[in-house]
Amino acid sequence: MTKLLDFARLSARQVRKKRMRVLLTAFGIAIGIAAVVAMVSFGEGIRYQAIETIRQQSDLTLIEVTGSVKDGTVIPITESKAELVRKIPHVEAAGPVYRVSFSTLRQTYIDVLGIRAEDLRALFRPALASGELYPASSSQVLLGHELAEKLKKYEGIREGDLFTVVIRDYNEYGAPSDRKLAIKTGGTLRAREDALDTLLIMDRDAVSALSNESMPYNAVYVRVDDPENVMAVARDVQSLGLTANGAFRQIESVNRFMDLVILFLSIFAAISLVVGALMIVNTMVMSVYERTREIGVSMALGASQGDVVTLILTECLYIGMIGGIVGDLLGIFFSWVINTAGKAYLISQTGDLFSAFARYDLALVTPGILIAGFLVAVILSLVSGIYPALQAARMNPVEAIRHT
Amino acid sequence: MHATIEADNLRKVYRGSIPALGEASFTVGKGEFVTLIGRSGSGKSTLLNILGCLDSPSSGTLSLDGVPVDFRDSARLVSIRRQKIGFVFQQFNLLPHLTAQENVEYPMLFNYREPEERARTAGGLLERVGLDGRKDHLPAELSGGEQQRVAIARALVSDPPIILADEPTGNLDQKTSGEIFSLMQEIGRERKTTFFVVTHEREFGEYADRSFRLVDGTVTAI
Ligand SMILES: Nc1ncnc2c1ncn2[C@@H]1O[C@H](COP(=O)(O)OP(=O)(O)OP(=O)(O)O)[C@@H](O)[C@H]1O
Ligand SMILES: [Mg+2]
Repeated sequence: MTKLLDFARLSARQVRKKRMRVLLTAFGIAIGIAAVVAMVSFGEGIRYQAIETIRQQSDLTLIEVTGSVKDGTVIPITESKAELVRKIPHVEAAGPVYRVSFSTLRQTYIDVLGIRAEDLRALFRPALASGELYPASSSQVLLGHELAEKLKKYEGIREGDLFTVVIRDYNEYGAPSDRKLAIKTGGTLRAREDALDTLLIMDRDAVSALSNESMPYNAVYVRVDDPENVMAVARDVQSLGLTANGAFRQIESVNRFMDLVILFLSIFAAISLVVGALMIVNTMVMSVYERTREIGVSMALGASQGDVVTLILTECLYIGMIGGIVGDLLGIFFSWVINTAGKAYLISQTGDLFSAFARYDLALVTPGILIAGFLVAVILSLVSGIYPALQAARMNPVEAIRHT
Repeated sequence: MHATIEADNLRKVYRGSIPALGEASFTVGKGEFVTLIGRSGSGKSTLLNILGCLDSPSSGTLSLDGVPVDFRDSARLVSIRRQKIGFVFQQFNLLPHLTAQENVEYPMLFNYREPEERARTAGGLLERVGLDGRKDHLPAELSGGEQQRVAIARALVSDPPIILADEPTGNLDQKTSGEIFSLMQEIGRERKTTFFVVTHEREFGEYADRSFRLVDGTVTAI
């Protein structure tokens, strides 16, 4: 180890002696690193922005658990499965629901959510515009804001009204038969900007009573305690053989998409890294050639082939470290340019479309990106040094010493 | 008591069947100061490189300090070079960007010693070769004779039993050459180090305990 440190000091001499050449070579790598850092930061900035938008606009901690089809058989949500879902860590509330549909006598289609009133409260914290939540096992219903508007407008149905809906059943041959049911609107939700707005909500047991046989639940709604834990809960749900859906899926697909975008951006930026690496190979091959005699003498004085390889690679390590640091600094500078000049230009060109970016940095330089940039520079330099180092180590010392 | 250098029928034939060395058989004892004289192209450097384990003979055997050298075992060759051999070159071959002190320490980076020990050993040797005040000078700031003194100190730094010098005064004037030879002779006596010195000039034979002559690849004692 101390031997390596001494080698490092020795190589530092070489590097200092050829300061200009080393700096220029390191600069080649640095530009590549800077391009990658700026591109990745740009991609990360857009990812952050997109995910923030999803976070603000959607209910991230709500998961809809549905049955899934596995090997051709449906895994239904039974009472016991629903109970298992409820017991998953970080699940704050879980409510099994039925999803059915009614239509009015005038053929207005109504989506129905059958859920216990206490589950509705725990999961959605419903705020009432008027009326009350429904009592258990009654045919009293709660209307979503939009649905209430629609029924009032097209059907003339108001709160407190009894009205008739049609339930369509299908027999075993697929032939439909209709039943009629009288229900009473007992309350209306405030506008929520989510799925509840268009739903007719009634007691779960009242929905299940509509059917002769017991049916499995259509879904379990799950409220997770914190957005951070949503993915973990979704995984646990999947391990129960069920399907988890929700706004978090959007984040997943944004992530997948941005991974791809960033990968492509980096590949193009990485082309300049290849050029930088070739510069290092060239510089080191030259440096080895110039020092042919020095290397031969070192071998005569007791340097092994490994020592020679280490000496050359240590020099590459310096080039890589300088290139990494300069590259990171340049990358930060490029990102700053994107964030100031680039952002102003983008907003002026696209107007409202990108006005949201005004609040965010377009390029997001994270410590992780900088560390990765530095490591890439170092590793690339070392890899570039392998060929010149082996060339040096394979020299015949006698010929090398005679070299002028 | 075994000989320090024991060469038995060493031959070297280069590619294209150029015979550079043939039938070199001789022994050199501990602490002996030997010169090797011969015409240009007679194979002096070839022999020296084989003795220094930098080159391998086409046939023949070599023992250094009582140990037979296996020329196929490159790891062993490295450790022999580190422990048994010190080289002095005609071109001095100091590393240009290292000071005199650092040049002398240089072999101890490979034959590893801690920095304090390195500094102490190198400092002592530089004093011994008369360059006490020049430790921090770069080779370019030293005269040829001074550079060769540094190189001698460097060759001695691992305290090897054998020093091989290939025309160490080839680039120096008459007076300086004499000083270098007497310095090597004194050090050889002090430290019981064997010196094997190739030289063009016969007159330096006076410093030697024995002189060999290389004629047409064959070593003969004078
Ligand atoms: N690598 C090589 N390939 C082919 N022939 C070589 C090689 N090295 C040396 N020779 C030949 O071997 C012979 C001996 O060379 P060597 O360098 O040992 O001579 P020398 O006695 O040291 O000469 P000088 O006094 O000029 O240094 C010469 O004829 C030389 O041309
Ligand atoms: Mg020669």
